[in-house]
Amino acid sequence: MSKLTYAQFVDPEVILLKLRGLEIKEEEFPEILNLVDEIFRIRLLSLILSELEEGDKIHFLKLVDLDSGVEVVDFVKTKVVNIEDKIQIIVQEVHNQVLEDISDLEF
Amino acid sequence: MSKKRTFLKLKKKLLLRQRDLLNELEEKHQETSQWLKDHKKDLSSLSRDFAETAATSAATGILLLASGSIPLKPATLETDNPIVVSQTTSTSQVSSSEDVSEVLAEKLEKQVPGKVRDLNEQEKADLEKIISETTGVAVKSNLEGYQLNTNYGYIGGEQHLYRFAGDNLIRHVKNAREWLMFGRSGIAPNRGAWGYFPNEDFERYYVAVQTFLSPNWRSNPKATYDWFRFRKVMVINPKSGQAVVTVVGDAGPADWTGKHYGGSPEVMHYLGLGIGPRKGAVLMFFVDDKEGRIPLGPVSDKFFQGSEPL
Repeated sequence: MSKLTYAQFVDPEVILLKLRGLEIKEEEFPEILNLVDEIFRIRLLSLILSELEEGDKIHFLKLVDLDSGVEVVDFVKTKVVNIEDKIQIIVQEVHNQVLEDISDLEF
Repeated sequence: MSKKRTFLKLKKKLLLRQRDLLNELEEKHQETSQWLKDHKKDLSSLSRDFAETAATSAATGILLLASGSIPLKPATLETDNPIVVSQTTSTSQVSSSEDVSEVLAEKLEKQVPGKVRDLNEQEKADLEKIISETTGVAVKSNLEGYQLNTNYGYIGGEQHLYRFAGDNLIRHVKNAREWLMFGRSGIAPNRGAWGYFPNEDFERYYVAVQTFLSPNWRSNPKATYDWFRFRKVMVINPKSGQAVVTVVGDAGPADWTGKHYGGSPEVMHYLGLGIGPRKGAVLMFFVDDKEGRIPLGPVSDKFFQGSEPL
């Protein structure tokens, strides 16, 4: 299974347990988890872009594109207030939303 | 609802959510979309790059994600079946293992076959003697009637494993240096074959072995599964003589991979196989440690020099 960025922040075991409850085949789990990961990544990028001023967005994209990790984070930390808290909220929101999606299928 | 239908329904739901989010992002940030278009970049890979940067930064402490919605690490590690470990010393504090490695490599060079293959009984006995005498740790290919499927095979790098409910990768590294060495392997989305780990060192120094291919498996899978759980084994890189005392923390890899064992990022590092293809030929033997005296981690002469095999 490919590396999940989402799983670096939170244990996806709760989601896996839910999936097992749905009796989805184990070999289909990676596809679901990869989609969850994709959603998490888009939400994260969307969050940063929404917090940046128009002129800063392109600069941010350029830094990400250059793969200059520390500079990206320094820039984001300077421009976005309480970035850590906001990321945690996104992680939790995505997590809860997926659990809800799965719960909806249980009935 | 059939299994297939449930899977497709959930997949469809997530794909729709993903598409909606992408559309929303493009609409809300048109300047950004235009820049991506002009530079022939796609939103998906850009979001991946940024998410990885965020994860790295959180692990190295640049982003402080230690509080808030992510569950805090429990004071004591939760485990399905806690076991008592009489382990008082952490070998991660040991700085040098050069001498014992050099001696071991020299002795093994004449003894270990050039190509990876099953060892015969005489070869196993000879290697047990060399390793036990050189490291001071008694090792066996057959312990209490149990055997590995092979004592000489290829090991491949594994990811970190969850140690307790709510664990995440960031908690597995202490600083930027550890992140560079051990963090980049990532964390597997599933728990190990025996569930959560009873302590941090077990996960740090875990190996995966093909329990399901052990000669004992066919006659009694349940007893074999139980016996292998966190069983101490020594892994040795015969080329460099680097040796690590580890526990069996997962089952695998699959037979078709061509590999026989898996090693945690830390185990691979201390075997000298942490960079490049993260694969190499190793020896693996059970550690005969009934009293639980052998600490986990890289074998160092500071612990074992001049001592009789423990």
